[in-house]
Amino acid sequence: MNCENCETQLLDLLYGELEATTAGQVRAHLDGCASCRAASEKLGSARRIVRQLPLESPPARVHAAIMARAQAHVRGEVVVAPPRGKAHAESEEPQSPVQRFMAWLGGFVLGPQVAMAMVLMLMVGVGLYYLPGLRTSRNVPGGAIVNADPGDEAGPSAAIQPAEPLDLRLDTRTNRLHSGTETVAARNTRTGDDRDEAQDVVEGPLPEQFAATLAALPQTNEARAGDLEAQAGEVIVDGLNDASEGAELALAPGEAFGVDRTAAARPAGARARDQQALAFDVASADSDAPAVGMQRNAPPTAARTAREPIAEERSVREQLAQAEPPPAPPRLTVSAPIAMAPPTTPSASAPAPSAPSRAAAPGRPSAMAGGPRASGGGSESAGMASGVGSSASAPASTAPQGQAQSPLLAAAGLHGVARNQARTSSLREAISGYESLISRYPGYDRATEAMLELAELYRRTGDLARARSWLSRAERAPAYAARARQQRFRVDEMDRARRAVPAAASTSSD
Amino acid sequence: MVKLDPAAVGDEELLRRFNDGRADAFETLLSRYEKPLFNFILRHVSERTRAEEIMQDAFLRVIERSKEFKGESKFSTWLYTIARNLCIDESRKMVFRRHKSLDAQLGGDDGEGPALVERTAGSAPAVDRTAIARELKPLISAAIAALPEEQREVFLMREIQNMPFKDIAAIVGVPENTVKSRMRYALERLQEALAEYADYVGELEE
Repeated sequence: MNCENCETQLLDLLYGELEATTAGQVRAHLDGCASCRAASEKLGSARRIVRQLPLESPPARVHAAIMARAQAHVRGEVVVAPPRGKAHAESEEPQSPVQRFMAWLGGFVLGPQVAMAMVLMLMVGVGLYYLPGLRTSRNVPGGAIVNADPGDEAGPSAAIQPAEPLDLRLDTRTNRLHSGTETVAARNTRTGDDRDEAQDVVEGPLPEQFAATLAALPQTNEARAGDLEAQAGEVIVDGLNDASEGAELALAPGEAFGVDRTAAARPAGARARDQQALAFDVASADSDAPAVGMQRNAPPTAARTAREPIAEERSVREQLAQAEPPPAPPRLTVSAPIAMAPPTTPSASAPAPSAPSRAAAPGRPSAMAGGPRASGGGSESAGMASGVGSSASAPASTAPQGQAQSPLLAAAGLHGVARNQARTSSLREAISGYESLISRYPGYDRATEAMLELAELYRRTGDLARARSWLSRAERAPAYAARARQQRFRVDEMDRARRAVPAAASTSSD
Repeated sequence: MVKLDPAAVGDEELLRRFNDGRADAFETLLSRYEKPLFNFILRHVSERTRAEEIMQDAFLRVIERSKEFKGESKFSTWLYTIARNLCIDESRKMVFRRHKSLDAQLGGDDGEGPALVERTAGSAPAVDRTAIARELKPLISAAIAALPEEQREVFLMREIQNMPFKDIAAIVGVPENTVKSRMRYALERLQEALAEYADYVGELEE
């Protein structure tokens, strides 16, 4: 007999429900165990106290009434049903727990507490539903509930309109993105000389796919889109030459790239077009270009710190960082129109490539970025297509080293677009994107990688011959040889599987 | 014909005789159970009149359904199941009635009265067993009334009716071990509540 056994049998011992043998064992344990003895005495003490409470006797009349009914029952008289009584009280056997629970629940059906609780719950529920803050505002990570666009000025989010291309131009010396259309248009209004304006533009607007990618970036990452939307606010452009340009520009949620929107300098129509068709344009690092200073003189107060770049954007920035020794991060700007800007001052921080400026070469179509679009108006896609055509005609391989970054940027953009297409849309589009990338930018530093990816796409489409041909091209680069061999193995495997299936089919048919 | 001592005849046999037309058999049953059952009900509903009515109802149901009793369970279990269900029904009604407690007479209108110790200390020479028992009774009643319902009913059936734990388990509808646990908790609570009077109880038992 241990303490555990003893404890379970203390009550039985106390009430005499133990057999003599077991009772003796328990008593023997109690003699030797102080803690069990204490527990037993505690129970016994309570029992002794309670037994002092005398039992009440029922009145004799109740006894008489019951006996009268019993004798009537014996005589066979019909016994009137008792005045009170519940159906379940008549059940002979004890009820099951479920029955008793249901009976208990039933007792609350009309209880006032239950009714009050229901009313309160209803009130709280209705109140929560009609709380405006919970229904319309977005809960941002900081915990505050803000309305991303209190004035409802932003319009439809670019996150849900990815098809609209961006027309952006990146000035590598100022590290600013500009709307190509607006820059050219603004200059045209001032100078009327397209050729001069074009000199600071080394590379034309990037192909349509890249612009589409930029526009679609928020869409590819929903969390990012939500972040941008939450951050979209109002940016005040100050330091402008024209007094009328101090207007507030509202950044639409999808325009978080810091698009150069000089709204007041241009007619409303051109402004609207710019917002819809912004081309990514890369400005030259040429310090000799006379127009460069105009952009550099954009008021610094208008500069807007860049938000955290997205992956594709980051790759662009990395290349920019390589081109520009100063470590200052690229800034997204909302810059003033440059019409009244002072003449060029060469940048001290600009790299000093001795190569002649390709951008300074005459004959480059100045309107290739914004011109067709600015005049085209309704035919956005046509304007973009012509922009693509003109930019494609500029062979990057002929560019000197100083300007080589621009094709690299364009190629990187195309590469990103093609990858995105491979993930999201059809393989055919992705393949054509890759092929145009490789053919157009043979000097692209990740061309071999693109070839490998292209080969993989061909393999997935089943065109094993082309896959092999691209792989063999890729294998020439030692760094990618191993990866190319792996892919070639997969291609061979697929080839074998293909041959095996018809063979098996023919044998089975035999 | 040898007439058996009624005290030696089992409950079930008495009920069978009653069904055979012998009212005296039922009177024996009634005499056996009316006092403990009345106290069981009284501690449940805490009102004497209601307790009397419920006890009467319980026995009248036994009379009405005596022929339905097949002897598959004990008579005591059957009777207490009926009485307990009537008490539960009554308790539901009483929740909103706020009846004055049967045992609230001690404190009077101003709430709690002085403790037994305080009231007996000044008249120590005059203390006798009757006086102590009289003073102790409401305290014990209050302590029992303060028990949780599930513990109190187990305690009452065990102490008042001396009902085996197995039968209590059948009436309450829980395992026997659960009944024992409740009984143990009840005794421990009562002991804690009434520990200061244990010495007086010792005097009473001498």
